[in-house]
Amino acid sequence: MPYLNTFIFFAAYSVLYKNNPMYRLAQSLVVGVGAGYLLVANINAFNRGVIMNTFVNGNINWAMLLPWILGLAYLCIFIPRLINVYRAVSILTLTVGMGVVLPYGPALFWTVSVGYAQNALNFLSEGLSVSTLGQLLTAVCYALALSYFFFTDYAAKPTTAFRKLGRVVLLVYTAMTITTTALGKINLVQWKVLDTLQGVPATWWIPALMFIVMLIDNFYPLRNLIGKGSEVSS
Amino acid sequence: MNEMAKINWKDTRLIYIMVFGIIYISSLAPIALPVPIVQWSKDFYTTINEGVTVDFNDPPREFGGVEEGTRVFVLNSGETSKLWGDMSEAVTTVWKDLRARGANILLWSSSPDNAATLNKYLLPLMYGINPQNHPDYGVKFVNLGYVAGGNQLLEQWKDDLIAITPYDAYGNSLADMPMMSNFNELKVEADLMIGLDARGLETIYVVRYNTPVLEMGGTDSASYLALSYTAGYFKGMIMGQRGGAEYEILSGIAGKARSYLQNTFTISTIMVIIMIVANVQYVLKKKEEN
Repeated sequence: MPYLNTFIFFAAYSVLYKNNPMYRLAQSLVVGVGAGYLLVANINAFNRGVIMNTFVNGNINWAMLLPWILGLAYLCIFIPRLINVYRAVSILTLTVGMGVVLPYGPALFWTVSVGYAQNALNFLSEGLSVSTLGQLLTAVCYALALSYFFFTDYAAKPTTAFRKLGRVVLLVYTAMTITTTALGKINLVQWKVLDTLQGVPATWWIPALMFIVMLIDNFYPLRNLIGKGSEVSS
Repeated sequence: MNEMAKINWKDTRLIYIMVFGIIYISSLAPIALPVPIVQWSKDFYTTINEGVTVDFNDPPREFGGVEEGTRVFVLNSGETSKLWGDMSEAVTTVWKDLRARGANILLWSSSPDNAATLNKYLLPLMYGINPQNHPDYGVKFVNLGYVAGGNQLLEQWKDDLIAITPYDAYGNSLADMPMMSNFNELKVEADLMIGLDARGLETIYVVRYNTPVLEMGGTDSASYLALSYTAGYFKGMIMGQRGGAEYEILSGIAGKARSYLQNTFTISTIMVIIMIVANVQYVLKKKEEN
């Protein structure tokens, strides 16, 4: 299994070199096995969450009839004449879910704003330090970035300076995000390379072999070894 | 030589070859550089080691740090499966520290792929191939596995976890496990929450119930998770392999993150050198053209 694990990981990245049979094999395997695993994992979750709760010590838990009804109603998607039943439960599930989660957005926005506003003035009580100045700068940047989105049309002219500074803040934030994302992605490959070197059994030779094959292919395309009929587009 | 002359340096295939070349060089011969520890990592360790006060609501909650029997709820609910390569050593080291301190650890995964990642890479390392057979299982550690429901589920668990989810990942009854006897009403019975790239906990637990929350993520999660740290909701953060290295230094627990970080430094150094050389070459070429 470690060999397959390493092969799939590096075969997936080999698409950066070019579309190739190893990549296509890895893609099909990941999609197929992934779909199968998701299906089984969800059946297992349904078993633990619903079936085992419905029949407890030989007694029926009537409250669990609701998920059964909802679940069966979802299956109506396969019966054209009962498609409205599926639509009804979909809408019910979506709206209830949104009703629970939706308030978190404004609540988080509010609590974060209050937190920044309170922390901004910490330098008055705690004195000037890197920490308190950082909190002040964070609050100012937060307000400027928000002004970029909030003040348009009627309020555009008097807030021009704020919005321009807000754009700078957003650009800095974007650059920082891109940099950390790139570093994070390199770390992922790095971790796997070290895993192949330090893991038991060592599987470093698999990506090394791939690397050599691609190096050869770069100078002498390997598709020349097989007929023109099996040519692969790069 | 004639073959070499045909190389097109703008060919993306060469970028692939160069990236792998650089990563292998850095893996075999890393550069050692000092590791400055950022404040959010220090806060993370201080919260575990000494504790923290959370006062969003009255009365404030005093958390005295992780010690024997501290109830720690680990929420494997973000993009752990995608970020594991960047989070692996930090999570492993923190988990080792929690175990060494005697914490009672409850683990929940919000998606099948997150559960599979920890099942493959973390739990066998800590509890063997069959964690449910480990002597600690049910006493110091319980794995809820993948339970669907996301934030709605957390909203329900705050009052009664076992009523909503009576069984663990292996089909065992939670009510029969000693550890769960006082680890059910999460709003008061979770002493500490550690989110693995988790979001939304601020409004569900921190603000309403003063639950201390720590956060662990990948290098690229830091930019948005920092918003909740700077606002005071996360009491500390450990981000990526760098965070893992910082935690190893702070806790004195041996791990691989420091050596991983040296590789990252090496990559960064090589990339910076390449960028400087390429830019100097570009400027010189421009001058020649003019």
